[in-house]
Amino acid sequence: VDRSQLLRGTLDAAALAVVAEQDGYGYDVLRRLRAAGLSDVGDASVYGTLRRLYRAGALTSYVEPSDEGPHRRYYGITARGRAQLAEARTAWADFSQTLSNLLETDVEVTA
Amino acid sequence: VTTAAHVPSDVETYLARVRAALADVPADERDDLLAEVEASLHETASESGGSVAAQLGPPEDFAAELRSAAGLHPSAAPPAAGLRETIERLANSPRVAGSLRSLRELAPIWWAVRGYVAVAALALAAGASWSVAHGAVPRIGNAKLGAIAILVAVAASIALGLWSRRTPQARLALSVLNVALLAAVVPVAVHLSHRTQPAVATQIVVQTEIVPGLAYNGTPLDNVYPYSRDGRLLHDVLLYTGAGTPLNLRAKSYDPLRRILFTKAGGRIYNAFPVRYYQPGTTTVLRPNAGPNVKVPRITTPPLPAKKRGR
Repeated sequence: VDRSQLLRGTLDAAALAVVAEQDGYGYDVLRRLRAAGLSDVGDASVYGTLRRLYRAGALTSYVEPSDEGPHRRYYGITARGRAQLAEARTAWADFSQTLSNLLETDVEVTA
Repeated sequence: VTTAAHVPSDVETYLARVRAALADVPADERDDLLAEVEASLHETASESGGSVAAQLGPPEDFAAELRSAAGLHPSAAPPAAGLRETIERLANSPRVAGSLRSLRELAPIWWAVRGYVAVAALALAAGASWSVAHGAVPRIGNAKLGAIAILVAVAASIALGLWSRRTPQARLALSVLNVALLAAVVPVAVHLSHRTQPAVATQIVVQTEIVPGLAYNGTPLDNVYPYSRDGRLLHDVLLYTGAGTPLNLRAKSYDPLRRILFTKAGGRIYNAFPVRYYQPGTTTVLRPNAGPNVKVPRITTPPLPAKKRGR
Protein backbone atom coordinates (compact mmCIF):
# COMPACT_ATOMS: atom_id res chain seq x y z
CA VAL A 1 0.00 0.00 0.00
CA ASP A 2 1.30 3.42 -0.99
CA ARG A 3 1.94 5.79 1.93
CA SER A 4 0.31 8.63 0.04
CA GLN A 5 -2.93 6.64 -0.15
CA LEU A 6 -2.85 6.04 3.60
CA LEU A 7 -2.20 9.73 4.10
CA ARG A 8 -5.22 10.86 2.16
CA GLY A 9 -7.74 9.78 4.76
CA THR A 10 -5.73 11.02 7.69
CA LEU A 11 -4.39 14.40 6.61
CA ASP A 12 -7.31 16.23 8.24
CA ALA A 13 -6.42 14.74 11.60
CA ALA A 14 -2.69 15.34 11.10
CA ALA A 15 -3.21 19.00 10.12
CA LEU A 16 -5.60 19.57 13.06
CA ALA A 17 -3.05 18.01 15.45
CA VAL A 18 -0.28 20.28 14.17
CA VAL A 19 -2.41 23.43 14.44
CA ALA A 20 -3.75 22.39 17.87
CA GLU A 21 -0.17 22.25 19.11
CA GLN A 22 0.54 25.78 17.88
CA ASP A 23 -1.06 28.18 15.40
CA GLY A 24 0.63 28.13 12.03
CA TYR A 25 0.49 29.44 8.48
CA GLY A 26 0.31 27.22 5.42
CA TYR A 27 3.97 26.69 4.71
CA ASP A 28 4.71 26.36 8.42
CA VAL A 29 2.09 23.61 8.83
CA LEU A 30 3.57 21.83 5.81
CA ARG A 31 7.07 22.02 7.27
CA ARG A 32 5.95 20.70 10.65
CA LEU A 33 4.09 17.80 9.06
CA ARG A 34 7.19 16.90 7.08
CA ALA A 35 9.44 17.30 10.12
CA ALA A 36 7.13 14.91 11.98
CA GLY A 37 7.89 12.27 9.37
CA LEU A 38 5.19 12.81 6.72
CA SER A 39 7.91 13.63 4.20
CA ASP A 40 5.81 12.82 1.15
CA VAL A 41 2.81 15.02 1.97
CA GLY A 42 1.97 17.24 -1.00
CA ASP A 43 2.16 21.03 -0.73
CA ALA A 44 -1.17 21.55 -2.45
CA SER A 45 -2.84 18.86 -0.32
CA VAL A 46 -1.90 20.71 2.86
CA TYR A 47 -3.00 24.13 1.62
CA GLY A 48 -6.27 22.75 0.26
CA THR A 49 -6.93 20.82 3.47
CA LEU A 50 -6.35 23.92 5.62
CA ARG A 51 -8.80 25.94 3.51
CA ARG A 52 -11.41 23.18 3.69
CA LEU A 53 -11.05 22.80 7.47
CA TYR A 54 -11.35 26.58 7.75
CA ARG A 55 -14.52 26.63 5.64
CA ALA A 56 -15.96 23.84 7.76
CA GLY A 57 -15.36 25.90 10.92
CA ALA A 58 -12.68 23.61 12.39
CA LEU A 59 -10.06 26.35 12.07
CA THR A 60 -10.07 30.12 12.51
CA SER A 61 -7.68 32.30 10.63
CA TYR A 62 -6.00 35.64 11.07
CA VAL A 63 -3.47 37.59 9.08
CA GLU A 64 -0.09 38.70 10.37
CA PRO A 65 2.38 40.85 8.47
CA SER A 66 5.62 39.17 7.56
CA ASP A 67 9.08 40.72 7.21
CA GLU A 68 9.67 38.70 4.09
CA GLY A 69 7.12 38.54 1.30
CA PRO A 70 3.30 38.75 1.56
CA HIS A 71 1.23 38.63 4.76
CA ARG A 72 0.88 35.25 6.41
CA ARG A 73 -2.51 33.77 7.11
CA TYR A 74 -2.27 31.93 10.41
CA TYR A 75 -4.67 29.16 11.37
CA GLY A 76 -5.77 28.31 14.88
CA ILE A 77 -8.00 25.48 16.04
CA THR A 78 -11.62 26.08 17.10
CA ALA A 79 -13.78 24.17 19.56
CA ARG A 80 -15.29 22.35 16.62
CA GLY A 81 -11.79 21.52 15.38
CA ARG A 82 -10.84 20.14 18.78
CA ALA A 83 -13.93 17.96 18.83
CA GLN A 84 -13.11 16.69 15.35
CA LEU A 85 -9.51 15.99 16.43
CA ALA A 86 -10.65 14.08 19.52
CA GLU A 87 -12.98 12.00 17.38
CA ALA A 88 -10.16 11.31 14.91
CA ARG A 89 -7.85 10.26 17.76
CA THR A 90 -10.32 7.68 19.05
CA ALA A 91 -11.10 6.41 15.57
CA TRP A 92 -7.43 6.17 14.66
CA ALA A 93 -6.45 4.42 17.90
CA ASP A 94 -9.21 1.90 17.36
CA PHE A 95 -8.43 1.42 13.67
CA SER A 96 -4.66 1.18 14.05
CA GLN A 97 -5.03 -1.30 16.91
CA THR A 98 -7.31 -3.47 14.81
CA LEU A 99 -5.04 -3.30 11.79
CA SER A 100 -1.92 -3.94 13.86
CA ASN A 101 -3.52 -7.03 15.31
CA LEU A 102 -4.47 -8.24 11.84
CA LEU A 103 -1.13 -7.52 10.23
CA GLU A 104 1.02 -8.83 13.06
CA THR A 105 -0.72 -12.20 13.24
CA ASP A 106 1.40 -14.76 11.53
CA VAL A 107 -0.69 -16.60 9.08
CA GLU A 108 0.65 -20.03 8.37
CA VAL A 109 1.20 -20.50 4.71
CA THR A 110 0.75 -24.05 3.71
CA ALA A 111 2.48 -25.24 0.66
CA VAL B 1 13.59 40.34 0.73
CA THR B 2 17.13 39.91 -0.55
CA THR B 3 16.21 37.01 -2.82
CA ALA B 4 12.84 38.48 -3.76
CA ALA B 5 14.20 40.32 -6.80
CA HIS B 6 14.53 37.30 -9.07
CA VAL B 7 11.95 35.06 -7.42
CA PRO B 8 8.56 36.74 -7.98
CA SER B 9 8.32 36.41 -11.75
CA ASP B 10 8.70 32.64 -11.44
CA VAL B 11 6.13 32.52 -8.61
CA GLU B 12 3.76 34.84 -10.48
CA THR B 13 3.89 32.71 -13.61
CA TYR B 14 3.27 29.53 -11.64
CA LEU B 15 0.44 31.17 -9.69
CA ALA B 16 -1.17 32.50 -12.88
CA ARG B 17 -1.32 28.98 -14.32
CA VAL B 18 -2.77 27.58 -11.08
CA ARG B 19 -5.37 30.36 -11.18
CA ALA B 20 -6.23 29.54 -14.78
CA ALA B 21 -6.69 25.88 -13.88
CA LEU B 22 -9.13 26.92 -11.13
CA ALA B 23 -11.11 29.26 -13.40
CA ASP B 24 -14.42 27.54 -12.60
CA VAL B 25 -14.06 27.88 -8.80
CA PRO B 26 -16.20 30.69 -7.31
CA ALA B 27 -14.08 33.86 -7.32
CA ASP B 28 -13.95 34.55 -3.58
CA GLU B 29 -13.03 30.99 -2.66
CA ARG B 30 -10.42 30.90 -5.42
CA ASP B 31 -8.89 34.18 -4.26
CA ASP B 32 -8.61 32.92 -0.67
CA LEU B 33 -7.08 29.68 -1.85
CA LEU B 34 -4.57 31.45 -4.08
CA ALA B 35 -3.66 33.97 -1.38
CA GLU B 36 -2.82 31.01 0.84
CA VAL B 37 -0.79 29.40 -1.91
CA GLU B 38 1.00 32.60 -2.93
CA ALA B 39 2.52 33.24 0.49
CA SER B 40 3.65 29.63 0.68
CA LEU B 41 5.11 29.62 -2.83
CA HIS B 42 7.27 32.60 -1.96
CA GLU B 43 8.67 30.64 0.97
CA THR B 44 9.16 27.53 -1.11
CA ALA B 45 10.98 29.57 -3.72
CA SER B 46 13.22 31.41 -1.26
CA GLU B 47 14.10 28.22 0.63
CA SER B 48 14.86 26.07 -2.37
CA GLY B 49 16.34 28.96 -4.28
CA GLY B 50 15.33 27.32 -7.51
CA SER B 51 12.35 27.12 -9.81
CA VAL B 52 8.98 26.63 -8.14
CA ALA B 53 7.86 24.37 -10.96
CA ALA B 54 10.88 22.10 -10.44
CA GLN B 55 9.99 21.88 -6.76
CA LEU B 56 6.23 21.40 -7.06
CA GLY B 57 5.62 19.88 -10.48
CA PRO B 58 3.34 21.23 -13.21
CA PRO B 59 0.96 23.95 -11.97
CA GLU B 60 -2.04 22.09 -13.43
CA ASP B 61 -1.26 19.03 -11.26
CA PHE B 62 -0.75 21.30 -8.28
CA ALA B 63 -4.14 22.91 -8.96
CA ALA B 64 -5.84 19.51 -9.23
CA GLU B 65 -4.37 18.40 -5.90
CA LEU B 66 -5.36 21.71 -4.31
CA ARG B 67 -8.90 21.39 -5.64
CA SER B 68 -9.33 17.85 -4.44
CA ALA B 69 -7.89 18.56 -0.96
CA ALA B 70 -10.02 21.68 -0.60
CA GLY B 71 -13.11 19.69 -1.56
CA LEU B 72 -13.91 21.89 -4.56
CA HIS B 73 -15.39 19.80 -7.29
CA PRO B 74 -14.97 20.81 -10.90
CA SER B 75 -18.13 22.43 -12.15
CA ALA B 76 -20.13 20.59 -14.80
CA ALA B 77 -20.09 23.48 -17.25
CA PRO B 78 -16.80 24.25 -18.99
CA PRO B 79 -15.65 27.65 -17.73
CA ALA B 80 -14.80 29.09 -21.13
CA ALA B 81 -18.22 28.76 -22.79
CA GLY B 82 -18.62 31.74 -25.09
CA LEU B 83 -21.47 34.23 -24.92
CA ARG B 84 -23.07 32.70 -27.99
CA GLU B 85 -23.08 29.17 -26.51
CA THR B 86 -24.44 30.51 -23.25
CA ILE B 87 -27.30 32.26 -25.02
CA GLU B 88 -28.05 29.20 -27.11
CA ARG B 89 -28.00 26.96 -24.05
CA LEU B 90 -30.34 29.36 -22.28
CA ALA B 91 -32.67 29.63 -25.23
CA ASN B 92 -32.89 25.86 -25.51
CA SER B 93 -33.59 25.22 -21.86
CA PRO B 94 -37.26 24.26 -21.37
CA ARG B 95 -37.91 26.85 -18.69
CA VAL B 96 -36.68 29.72 -20.86
CA ALA B 97 -38.55 28.41 -23.87
CA GLY B 98 -41.72 28.39 -21.75
CA SER B 99 -41.15 31.96 -20.63
CA LEU B 100 -40.55 33.05 -24.21
CA ARG B 101 -43.84 31.43 -25.26
CA SER B 102 -45.80 33.24 -22.56
CA LEU B 103 -44.00 36.47 -23.46
CA ARG B 104 -45.21 35.92 -27.01
CA GLU B 105 -48.77 35.64 -25.76
CA LEU B 106 -48.40 38.87 -23.80
CA ALA B 107 -46.87 40.71 -26.77
CA PRO B 108 -50.17 42.43 -27.81
CA ILE B 109 -50.16 44.35 -24.51
CA TRP B 110 -46.76 45.75 -25.44
CA TRP B 111 -48.01 46.56 -28.93
CA ALA B 112 -50.74 48.77 -27.48
CA VAL B 113 -48.35 50.38 -24.98
CA ARG B 114 -45.73 51.12 -27.61
CA GLY B 115 -48.33 52.88 -29.77
CA TYR B 116 -49.07 55.26 -26.92
CA VAL B 117 -45.38 55.61 -26.05
CA ALA B 118 -44.57 56.56 -29.65
CA VAL B 119 -47.10 59.43 -29.63
CA ALA B 120 -46.19 60.57 -26.10
CA ALA B 121 -42.45 60.47 -26.82
CA LEU B 122 -42.86 62.48 -30.03
CA ALA B 123 -45.00 65.02 -28.16
CA LEU B 124 -42.37 65.27 -25.42
CA ALA B 125 -39.58 65.65 -27.97
CA ALA B 126 -41.53 68.38 -29.77
CA GLY B 127 -42.20 70.13 -26.44
CA ALA B 128 -45.96 69.94 -26.94
CA SER B 129 -48.22 70.95 -24.09
CA TRP B 130 -50.43 68.40 -22.39
CA SER B 131 -54.12 68.32 -21.73
CA VAL B 132 -54.99 69.66 -18.30
CA ALA B 133 -58.10 67.52 -17.87
CA HIS B 134 -56.40 64.34 -19.06
CA GLY B 135 -52.72 64.67 -18.22
CA ALA B 136 -51.73 61.65 -20.26
CA VAL B 137 -52.99 63.17 -23.51
CA PRO B 138 -50.70 65.55 -25.36
CA ARG B 139 -52.23 68.43 -27.28
CA ILE B 140 -51.64 67.97 -30.96
CA GLY B 141 -53.43 71.09 -32.06
CA ASN B 142 -55.81 70.27 -29.22
CA ALA B 143 -56.40 67.47 -26.76
CA LYS B 144 -59.06 65.79 -28.91
CA LEU B 145 -56.67 65.44 -31.84
CA GLY B 146 -54.05 64.16 -29.40
CA ALA B 147 -56.41 61.43 -28.23
CA ILE B 148 -57.20 60.49 -31.82
CA ALA B 149 -53.47 60.32 -32.61
CA ILE B 150 -53.03 57.91 -29.68
CA LEU B 151 -55.87 55.66 -30.86
CA VAL B 152 -54.52 55.60 -34.42
CA ALA B 153 -51.00 54.84 -33.21
CA VAL B 154 -52.18 51.99 -30.96
CA ALA B 155 -54.20 50.47 -33.81
CA ALA B 156 -51.26 50.83 -36.22
CA SER B 157 -48.88 49.29 -33.68
CA ILE B 158 -51.14 46.24 -33.17
CA ALA B 159 -51.49 45.84 -36.94
CA LEU B 160 -47.71 46.04 -37.24
CA GLY B 161 -47.30 43.38 -34.53
CA LEU B 162 -49.72 40.97 -36.25
CA TRP B 163 -48.05 41.58 -39.61
CA SER B 164 -44.55 40.92 -38.17
CA ARG B 165 -45.66 37.51 -36.90
CA ARG B 166 -46.27 36.47 -40.49
CA THR B 167 -43.24 38.29 -41.88
CA PRO B 168 -39.97 37.08 -40.35
CA GLN B 169 -37.90 39.47 -42.50
CA ALA B 170 -39.42 42.41 -40.63
CA ARG B 171 -38.23 41.15 -37.23
CA LEU B 172 -34.84 42.93 -37.23
CA ALA B 173 -36.24 46.34 -38.16
CA LEU B 174 -39.02 45.88 -35.61
CA SER B 175 -36.66 44.90 -32.82
CA VAL B 176 -34.74 48.14 -33.41
CA LEU B 177 -38.05 50.02 -33.15
CA ASN B 178 -38.97 48.08 -30.00
CA VAL B 179 -35.67 48.88 -28.30
CA ALA B 180 -36.06 52.57 -29.18
CA LEU B 181 -39.62 52.67 -27.84
CA LEU B 182 -38.63 50.69 -24.75
CA ALA B 183 -36.05 53.39 -24.05
CA ALA B 184 -38.69 56.07 -24.67
CA VAL B 185 -40.87 54.53 -21.93
CA VAL B 186 -38.58 56.12 -19.33
CA PRO B 187 -39.09 59.82 -20.22
CA VAL B 188 -42.79 59.21 -20.87
CA ALA B 189 -43.24 57.54 -17.48
CA VAL B 190 -41.36 60.40 -15.82
CA HIS B 191 -43.60 62.91 -17.53
CA LEU B 192 -46.76 61.06 -16.51
CA SER B 193 -45.65 60.87 -12.88
CA HIS B 194 -44.97 64.63 -12.84
CA ARG B 195 -47.96 65.82 -14.80
CA THR B 196 -50.25 68.41 -13.34
CA GLN B 197 -53.16 66.84 -11.51
CA PRO B 198 -56.37 66.77 -13.56
CA ALA B 199 -58.47 69.85 -13.00
CA VAL B 200 -61.50 67.56 -12.53
CA ALA B 201 -60.27 66.54 -9.11
CA THR B 202 -60.35 70.13 -7.92
CA GLN B 203 -64.04 70.46 -8.75
CA ILE B 204 -64.96 67.63 -6.42
CA VAL B 205 -63.04 68.99 -3.47
CA VAL B 206 -65.27 71.10 -1.26
CA GLN B 207 -63.14 73.68 0.47
CA THR B 208 -64.37 74.11 4.02
CA GLU B 209 -61.07 74.97 5.57
CA ILE B 210 -58.15 77.14 4.64
CA VAL B 211 -55.85 75.38 2.21
CA PRO B 212 -52.31 75.53 3.53
CA GLY B 213 -49.74 76.74 1.05
CA LEU B 214 -50.47 78.42 -2.23
CA ALA B 215 -54.04 78.37 -3.55
CA TYR B 216 -56.27 80.16 -6.04
CA ASN B 217 -60.00 80.38 -5.18
CA GLY B 218 -59.42 77.58 -2.71
CA THR B 219 -57.72 75.36 -5.26
CA PRO B 220 -54.16 74.41 -4.33
CA LEU B 221 -51.64 75.56 -6.91
CA ASP B 222 -48.72 73.45 -7.94
CA ASN B 223 -47.19 76.03 -10.21
CA VAL B 224 -47.49 79.62 -11.46
CA TYR B 225 -46.44 80.69 -14.96
CA PRO B 226 -45.63 84.39 -15.34
CA TYR B 227 -45.59 85.89 -18.85
CA SER B 228 -44.25 89.24 -19.97
CA ARG B 229 -46.58 91.63 -21.85
CA ASP B 230 -45.03 90.57 -25.12
CA GLY B 231 -45.96 86.94 -24.44
CA ARG B 232 -42.64 85.53 -23.31
CA LEU B 233 -42.66 82.96 -20.54
CA LEU B 234 -40.54 84.33 -17.69
CA HIS B 235 -38.23 82.25 -15.54
CA ASP B 236 -37.29 82.39 -11.87
CA VAL B 237 -39.74 85.18 -11.04
CA LEU B 238 -39.93 85.79 -7.26
CA LEU B 239 -43.48 86.49 -6.01
CA TYR B 240 -44.43 88.31 -2.81
CA THR B 241 -47.65 89.45 -1.13
CA GLY B 242 -48.32 93.10 -0.39
CA ALA B 243 -47.03 92.46 3.13
CA GLY B 244 -43.75 91.28 1.67
CA THR B 245 -44.37 87.62 2.51
CA PRO B 246 -42.82 85.32 -0.08
CA LEU B 247 -45.51 83.32 -1.88
CA ASN B 248 -43.80 80.09 -1.00
CA LEU B 249 -44.86 76.90 -2.75
CA ARG B 250 -43.70 73.94 -0.73
CA ALA B 251 -44.67 70.33 -1.14
CA LYS B 252 -45.62 68.32 1.94
CA SER B 253 -42.58 66.15 1.42
CA TYR B 254 -39.16 66.93 0.01
CA ASP B 255 -39.01 66.36 -3.75
CA PRO B 256 -35.41 65.76 -4.86
CA LEU B 257 -36.39 66.42 -8.47
CA ARG B 258 -37.61 69.96 -7.83
CA ARG B 259 -35.16 72.64 -8.94
CA ILE B 260 -34.62 74.86 -5.91
CA LEU B 261 -32.99 78.29 -6.17
CA PHE B 262 -30.50 79.24 -3.48
CA THR B 263 -29.57 82.60 -2.00
CA LYS B 264 -25.91 83.53 -1.79
CA ALA B 265 -26.04 82.64 1.88
CA GLY B 266 -27.29 79.18 0.96
CA GLY B 267 -30.94 79.74 1.88
CA ARG B 268 -33.59 77.94 -0.12
CA ILE B 269 -36.04 79.95 -2.22
CA TYR B 270 -39.52 78.55 -2.56
CA ASN B 271 -41.27 81.52 -4.20
CA ALA B 272 -39.50 81.35 -7.59
CA PHE B 273 -41.82 80.58 -10.50
CA PRO B 274 -42.39 78.62 -12.59
CA VAL B 275 -41.22 75.70 -10.45
CA ARG B 276 -39.13 73.39 -12.62
CA TYR B 277 -38.15 69.77 -12.21
CA TYR B 278 -34.98 67.92 -13.04
CA GLN B 279 -34.73 64.84 -15.16
CA PRO B 280 -34.23 62.05 -12.62
CA GLY B 281 -30.57 61.51 -11.76
CA THR B 282 -29.41 64.74 -13.43
CA THR B 283 -29.36 68.47 -12.81
CA THR B 284 -30.85 69.12 -16.22
CA VAL B 285 -34.25 70.74 -16.13
CA LEU B 286 -37.01 68.74 -17.72
CA ARG B 287 -38.69 70.80 -20.46
CA PRO B 288 -37.50 74.22 -19.20
CA ASN B 289 -39.93 76.03 -21.49
CA ALA B 290 -43.08 74.03 -20.80
CA GLY B 291 -46.05 76.16 -19.87
CA PRO B 292 -49.82 76.22 -20.00
CA ASN B 293 -51.44 76.60 -23.37
CA VAL B 294 -52.24 80.29 -23.07
CA LYS B 295 -52.34 83.06 -25.58
CA VAL B 296 -51.18 86.26 -23.97
CA PRO B 297 -53.58 88.92 -25.27
CA ARG B 298 -52.29 91.92 -27.13
CA ILE B 299 -51.90 94.73 -24.66
CA THR B 300 -52.70 98.28 -25.71
CA THR B 301 -51.99 100.06 -22.42
CA PRO B 302 -48.54 101.60 -22.75
CA PRO B 303 -45.89 99.91 -20.59
CA LEU B 304 -44.71 101.56 -17.39
CA PRO B 305 -41.37 103.25 -17.74
CA ALA B 306 -38.60 100.82 -16.86
CA LYS B 307 -36.87 101.76 -13.63
CA LYS B 308 -33.20 102.58 -14.17
CA ARG B 309 -30.92 99.99 -12.66
CA GLY B 310 -28.62 101.19 -9.98
CA ARG B 311 -28.23 101.30 -6.30
